[in-house]
Amino acid sequence: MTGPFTFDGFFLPPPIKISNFTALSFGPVQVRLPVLTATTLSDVVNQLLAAQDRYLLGQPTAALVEIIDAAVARWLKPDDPARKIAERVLPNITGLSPAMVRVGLTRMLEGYRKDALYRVLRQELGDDRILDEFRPRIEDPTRLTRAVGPRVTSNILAGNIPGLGIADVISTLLTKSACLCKVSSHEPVSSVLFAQTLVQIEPRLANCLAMVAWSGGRPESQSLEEVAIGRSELVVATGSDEAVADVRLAAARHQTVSGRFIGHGHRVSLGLIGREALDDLKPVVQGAAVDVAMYDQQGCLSPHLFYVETGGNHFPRQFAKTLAEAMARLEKDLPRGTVDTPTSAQLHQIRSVAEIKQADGEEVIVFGSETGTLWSVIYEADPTFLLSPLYRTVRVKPIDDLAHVPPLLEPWRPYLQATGLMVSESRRLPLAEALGRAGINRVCPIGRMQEPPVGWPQDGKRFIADRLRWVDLEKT
Amino acid sequence: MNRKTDSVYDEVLEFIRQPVHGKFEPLALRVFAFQFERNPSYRRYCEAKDKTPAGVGSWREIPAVPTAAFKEIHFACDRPEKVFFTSGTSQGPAKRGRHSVPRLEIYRAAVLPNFAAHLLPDGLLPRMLFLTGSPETWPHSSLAHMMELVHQEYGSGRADYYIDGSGLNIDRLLHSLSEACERDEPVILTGVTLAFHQILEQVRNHRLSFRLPPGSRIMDTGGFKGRKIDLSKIELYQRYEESLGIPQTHIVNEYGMTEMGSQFYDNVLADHINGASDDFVFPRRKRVPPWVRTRVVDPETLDDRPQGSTGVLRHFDLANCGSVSALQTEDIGRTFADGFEVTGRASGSEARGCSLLVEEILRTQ
Repeated sequence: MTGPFTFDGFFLPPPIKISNFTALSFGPVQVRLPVLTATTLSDVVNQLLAAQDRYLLGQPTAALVEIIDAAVARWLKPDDPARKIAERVLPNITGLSPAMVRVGLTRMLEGYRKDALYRVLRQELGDDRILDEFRPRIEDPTRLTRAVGPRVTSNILAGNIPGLGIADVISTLLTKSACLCKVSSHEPVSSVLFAQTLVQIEPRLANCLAMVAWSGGRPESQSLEEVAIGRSELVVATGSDEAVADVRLAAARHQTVSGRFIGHGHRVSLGLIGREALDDLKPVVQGAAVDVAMYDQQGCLSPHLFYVETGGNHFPRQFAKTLAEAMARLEKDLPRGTVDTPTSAQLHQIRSVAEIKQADGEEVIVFGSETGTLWSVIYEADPTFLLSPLYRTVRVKPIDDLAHVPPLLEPWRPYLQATGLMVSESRRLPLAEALGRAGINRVCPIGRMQEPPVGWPQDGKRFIADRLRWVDLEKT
Repeated sequence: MNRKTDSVYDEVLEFIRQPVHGKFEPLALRVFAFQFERNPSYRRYCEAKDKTPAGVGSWREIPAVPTAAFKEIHFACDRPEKVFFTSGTSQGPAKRGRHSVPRLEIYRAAVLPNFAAHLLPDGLLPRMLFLTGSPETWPHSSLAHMMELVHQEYGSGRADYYIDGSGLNIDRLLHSLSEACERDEPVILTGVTLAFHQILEQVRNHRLSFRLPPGSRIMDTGGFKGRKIDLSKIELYQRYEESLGIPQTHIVNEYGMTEMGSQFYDNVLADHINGASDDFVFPRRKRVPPWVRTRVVDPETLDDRPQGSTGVLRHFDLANCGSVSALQTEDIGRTFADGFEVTGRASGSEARGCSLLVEEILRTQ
């Protein structure tokens, strides 16, 4: 996996030719990116619009599902060439360990098989052919309804997790929309490679896909942003709050009044473990450790802390100790990646502050990797919800009743995403109700936080339905 | 205060006033023993790290306390004469860092000669304009206290503070700048970088430009601390020069923190006046005063990084003898033969994607 390697971090409709490039360096890996002008990007959008009209619009949803499923199936084979390139370059680019990249890609892609795609279409739209033709409405026999996707969707992709952009490509195609992606400089790989795989399976998709890059927020990028955003009926931005806010502003300026914007900004998640789940510590702790370790805690579904209920057969501090042991074991199979100096400094700072509190007799216990900052579990009696500096740093806090957790989340309401929940059957529903009211969008078992089913309500939004426009035909 | 206490403080005071070669190390070890004895929280931490005065033979082995711990724990060897607080956070005063100073005399001794050596090396005493709050407006601020000390020693008349309860009074400051130009009276502008930035914006928006009289100078501190201002240090200093007419040799950045009694300054003005270098160079170096030792360590291994490589800054400050002298900062930097450079801050690191920014975390913890 060593030695220099150049990767083209873009995908353009074949008629578009580029002669000007720039490069990003990630150790031995060079990523070549095109330097676009507003005119070229406008030509790209023209290609996309024409191909959407000529090809995509005429494809039945079932055909698109087949293509996507075939591409995913290829990527799930370890010897697939695109997959192999992704595995080769992503550790250098993202800093994640090779094992983490491998496991992460597999887990993510397994969610996008045919059955799952049909499930989400039916669940969100009520009818998996409603994007193909007018369909009867059960509740109103005087009307027919169909859904229409955007002609072009601009996806501004985030780079916090490898492979995340693939989900945007898939949902865009399912709406029969041409897909323009602005790839992140933190991960300009997987969406580009996935586009190549799609085109190998169905060459007519070549003019329906474009993966390009420019630096957001920079003055020289404004004309590019204006083209991409102004000519897209839908703009979907994922990234930091600041980046999303910038795109939102640009969308307000450049889109027509019927244009749409979907933003996915900062989000935080946590875990809740009931006293009854502590009888058998091992499985719950193993699940919790995986939830923390996956993607080195960089995802919006990564738990920042665990609230563990008192009064069970094990104390919350025993949970913390066992979790620490599980984190240490995971470090062998799924090692943490590299972190930069400022991050490492911060992880060290957080851990040593906790060590001082522990030495000072406060109810704090620090468990950490023997060397470096590879992982830290901090048991802390104070129940305040605190954010973690991430990269496998997690707090464990005792709580006498899990019902007391939702009010503690109030300050974080706009940022809440998922809760891993391990309680008896009878307590699950009332707790989920309370968490949903508090702002949580997804409640799932501990150990499955990082395996969301396709169509999970990210930021409370729907995977396909929110991207669509609806057309009614009323009977005469 | 008992005699033993006084004797440690007196020795430190004497050393700061008149540093003696070879005496730093024994004094540092004595200060450690004193802090270990007088400061139970610190002692327990050192014991947990298995480092006691009996077993520590070099100042490098003395356990460093992370600066963030000042938010959680009150490190004090004695009843303080003064307590400084870090600026507020959304969680209120409980989560502000606090630094106890049992003898303000030591604080003063560390501030004045160092300030003079780097901001007044030519012996000129320009009129002082403070872009900070006064000690009344900012009663807990170490920076305001420092400015007051500087004014008492090197200023004249009433001190001019341009930040009050309602913020920065730009109009009054612009008036003072015009006045200085008219009277051909050099000034020294000292204050936080964010306040300077506001002024630069105002000057630019109103298409103003000042040519402050020769000898005028700037001391800025604090940087942009995670604010969304896309301006490099080089660009910032160019703008100071363009808007205020102060050459880059006369723009001195101060690096200090509430948790620390001593400060560090860029070497540019001192070198310029002393003829050490004609060319203005980046990176500017921060000079380490003789009563402080600064190291750059690898945050993963905590081993010293070689000269020129980047790591986390650790300081040992004798002026902190009343609290904790060994400090682990969140600042990133690298050392040179003649000082060090601060290149960033842990809180300024960019968090990726949909997780919260690290600086946001720091703001709330």
